[in-house]
Amino acid sequence: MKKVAKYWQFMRIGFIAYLAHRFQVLMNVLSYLLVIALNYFLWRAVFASRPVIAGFTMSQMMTYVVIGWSARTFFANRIDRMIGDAVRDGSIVMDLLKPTNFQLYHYFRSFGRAVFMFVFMTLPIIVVASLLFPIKPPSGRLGPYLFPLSVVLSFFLHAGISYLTGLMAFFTRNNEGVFRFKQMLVEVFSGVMIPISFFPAWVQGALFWLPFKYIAYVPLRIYLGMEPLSRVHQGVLLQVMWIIIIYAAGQLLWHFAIKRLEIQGG
Amino acid sequence: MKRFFFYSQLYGAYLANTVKSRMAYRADFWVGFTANLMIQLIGVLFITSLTARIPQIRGWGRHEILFIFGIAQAVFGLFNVLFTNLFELSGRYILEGGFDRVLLRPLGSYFQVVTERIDLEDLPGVLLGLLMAGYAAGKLHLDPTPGRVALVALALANGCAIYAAVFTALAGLTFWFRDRGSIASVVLMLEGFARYPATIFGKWLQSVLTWVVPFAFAAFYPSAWLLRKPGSGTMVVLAPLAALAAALVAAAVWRRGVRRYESAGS
Repeated sequence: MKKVAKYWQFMRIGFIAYLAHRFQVLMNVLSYLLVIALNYFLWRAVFASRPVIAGFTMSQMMTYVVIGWSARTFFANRIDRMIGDAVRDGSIVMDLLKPTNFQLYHYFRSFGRAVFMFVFMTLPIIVVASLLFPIKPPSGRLGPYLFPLSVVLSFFLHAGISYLTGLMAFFTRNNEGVFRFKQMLVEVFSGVMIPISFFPAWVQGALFWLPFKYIAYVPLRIYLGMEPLSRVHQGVLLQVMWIIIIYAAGQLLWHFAIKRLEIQGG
Repeated sequence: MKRFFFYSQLYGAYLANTVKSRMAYRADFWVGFTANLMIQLIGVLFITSLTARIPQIRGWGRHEILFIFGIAQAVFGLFNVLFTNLFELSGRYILEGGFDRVLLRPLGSYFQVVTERIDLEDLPGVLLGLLMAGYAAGKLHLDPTPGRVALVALALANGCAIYAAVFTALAGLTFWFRDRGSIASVVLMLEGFARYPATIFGKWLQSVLTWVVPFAFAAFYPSAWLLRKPGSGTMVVLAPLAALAAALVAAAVWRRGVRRYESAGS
């Protein structure tokens, strides 16, 4: 019970920390709306030449774009950058003093941020976007129930990937390049920028063995009701499986990382 | 003229210094370089996958789109190599007071801010962009005549100047508003969409990318002219004027902003 209270506090801190950045949040809402609008026009132009591409109809694609980018505001996190900054300026020693699981501390602190983002970014963006663009409600028998669950799982999956990336800060001083690489990997291979089914067969084959598509592509197909029931269950189970695998990998990598830590100056 | 030589020499010294300091941490440099190369490759995969399943987008053939995308990638890559420090201007220099140090030296303040970081790790963007444009040009039977090569070189310089001017003006706003570059990040989103033929987004958005934030002049209009698109002749003549206009605005913002600079206090 004490443990739960501890992680609840981490969440609370993550939430509150963002109340100070109201102007930034407003600008972020605007920039996401801009990205959604631009993607909308881009995909509308792409679909002007053909009614169905890579299994998507134009109206499915429009919903995919709006819901996908809105969901991204929720499952995005800054864990890698937080760890990177803490390693660089040495404040990581304060984190190490805390009697807590470093990985779970970051998961839950960021989840508090995600709850903040859900209230102040995801919801406003979806409301405005649904007034501007034709989007469909979740379809299929399970879409309305399993989609929210699936997106929460996306958060923890993405948190794990960011955590592993953040630990790279212990091995290289060039965090920026590694973090940007991860961001691009997630953006393109999660399916946010383009559905996985657009990729050539060899890329789709490779992505089968990787966790990225479970961040956005799989939840969005659940939302759109594009998967049969059995595949929906399988998708959610695979999300859980990847969360566990990446969590374990994080625990393991931590043991190597902590031995490499050197605080510069002081 | 004497000043020009003085500053060129100085730029050379800064560049040599950058190379030396990056090579002191050689492994980190290659981590960043490789990460950037991968990022650019994912970008190539994205655009080729987007265009693979359709014959054309609103009258633009696949290789025409790839040509424009490649040129745009190279222009933005070059801008990132030479002007990446503009993105640090709001935070590290103006809000945190790093600009004090710049003002104390008997050199142009803008020159110093820009040259304090030359990002050689972003070179893969330039190379891959040119490779993709070259490949597409081959498919389109556009031979690399001296005239065309010269025009591409001019477009690179001109486009780089446009991006530099726009982001200088935006970063300069921090002299008035205490904002850590969130306005610049909204405009940065637009860059990603300036890599497509601007006409596919419709008249409204094309006008924004032409007359408000003139990114379309950076790659699209020069490329369209090389691709012999009707009506692109006037726009290609306007491109240097767009760069000049943007530079004048940026210079005005900079001069007034520097006069307003009040250091960080404390």
